[in-house]
Amino acid sequence: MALKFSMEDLAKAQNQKFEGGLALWNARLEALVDSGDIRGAIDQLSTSVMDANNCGCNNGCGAVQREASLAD
Amino acid sequence: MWKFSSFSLLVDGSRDNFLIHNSFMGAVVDVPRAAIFHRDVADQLRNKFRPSEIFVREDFATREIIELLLRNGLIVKSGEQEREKAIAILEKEEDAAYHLIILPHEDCNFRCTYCYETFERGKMPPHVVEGTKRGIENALRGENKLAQLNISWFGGEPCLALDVVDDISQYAQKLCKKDGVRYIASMTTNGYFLKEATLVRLLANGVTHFQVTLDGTKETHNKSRMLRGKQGTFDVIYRNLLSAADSNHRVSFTIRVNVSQENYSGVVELISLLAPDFAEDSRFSLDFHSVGQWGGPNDENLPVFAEDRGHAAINTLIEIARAAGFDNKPSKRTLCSHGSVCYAGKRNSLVVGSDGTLYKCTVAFTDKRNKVGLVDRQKGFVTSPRKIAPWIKGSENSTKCKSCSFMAACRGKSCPLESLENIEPVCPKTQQQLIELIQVSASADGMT
Repeated sequence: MALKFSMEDLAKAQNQKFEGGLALWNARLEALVDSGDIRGAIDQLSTSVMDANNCGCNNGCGAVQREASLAD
Repeated sequence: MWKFSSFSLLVDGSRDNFLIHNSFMGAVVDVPRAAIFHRDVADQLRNKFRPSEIFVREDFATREIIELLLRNGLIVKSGEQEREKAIAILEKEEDAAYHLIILPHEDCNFRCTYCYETFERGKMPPHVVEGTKRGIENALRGENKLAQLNISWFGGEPCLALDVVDDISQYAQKLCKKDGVRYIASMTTNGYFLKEATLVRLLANGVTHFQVTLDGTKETHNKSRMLRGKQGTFDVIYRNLLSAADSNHRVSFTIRVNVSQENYSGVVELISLLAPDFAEDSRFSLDFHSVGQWGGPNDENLPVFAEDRGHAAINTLIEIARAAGFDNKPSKRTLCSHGSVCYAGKRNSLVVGSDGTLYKCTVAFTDKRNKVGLVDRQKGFVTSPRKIAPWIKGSENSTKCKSCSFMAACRGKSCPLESLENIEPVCPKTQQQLIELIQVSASADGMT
């Protein structure tokens, strides 16, 4: 899996632009390259400061509507 | 021998190309159609639910494309127990952080037309503040070594209790510094009180990310987001955002925009208004949500979109915002690992109510299933594992999650509240909605 790649490989993967194809983005590789180690990548990937969102969560799933109907 | 990652999904790009998304890597790769030689294999990759493995022959595509896919984790070794390994990594990442959503004040100076909160509880009293500090201390000194403490200030309006924010933040920061734990904090605020002095005060408290809502231009915003006395709020909020943009503070803002049929054209105007002031500033991003009937007293009068029309409207707004120069971080984030997991589904996440009630979810405050514990002045957070268990169960026993390419992003926990009523977890998106989001997010990057 990608976590076994060397840092050099990761940097290469992040920047690669082969003729005809390219990675538009890769959050896990970017986190590894930015932080330089797996511990740092875990810090970046594990939680987002944008987790909390008012008036319903991030996912727009309809639960709030359901909750409202249950309360009626 | 190689196989496609079970988290990979192929969709059509708008040029003569394919986009391949991988929810574990949080990646999207752009591949020309001409570089793929086995279209039957590509067709198998179009299905979000894939019970069987898809192997990659050497002549599947050009050597460069296969290498591109391999380097980005979109294909893996065929003997790899990929799913098991990925889940272990995701769980380790999730457990590395402790997340508290703290409501220092549950009243608000606003009375938004769609708000579901009841404003029955006020400011957090001293005994709850002390108990919250004990809870944080216990979490940091627990059996599992944490890498990160994440505090999200929420309400009501958290700026109505800045002294509580000061008190808890300073204590938590001190403990984190001592224990070598990374501290990050964010605040969901209406932005009305966020003048320069307050921003500086909150930055000192480690609050580096803010979510502020604008529901269109002045005219449309002031119809839905008004003060208790019905006065408009747009000018004050906009002035505060401009002040932050003019500063050199290391801070980021998500400007949330709630979209309904009624304010849609106003939102398009808002993007044009915001662009000259904020689009080139990477500290600011826009996050569009279609307004729902969220349980407030005005639900019946809200001009909400039908579900699919809401998704289409949001996707159009993402493209308009990108064309105006805004980055599309929030929509891209939902496509990454953990990006569509609700905080309520995380083991190490609690909501601390101002009266000391502990919840999992910030929506269902009156639901008994959501009241999972209490803050105790001496003991800290006293929770019921039995009441927490249904919220965090996720995809373990789910048949559909086992074969779903999006599982690393939502983990069957996109909405634990809704899933409480179901045997199978609720999906955050239909396959079509996921395809469209991948296309829009890739398009917003200017590549399709």
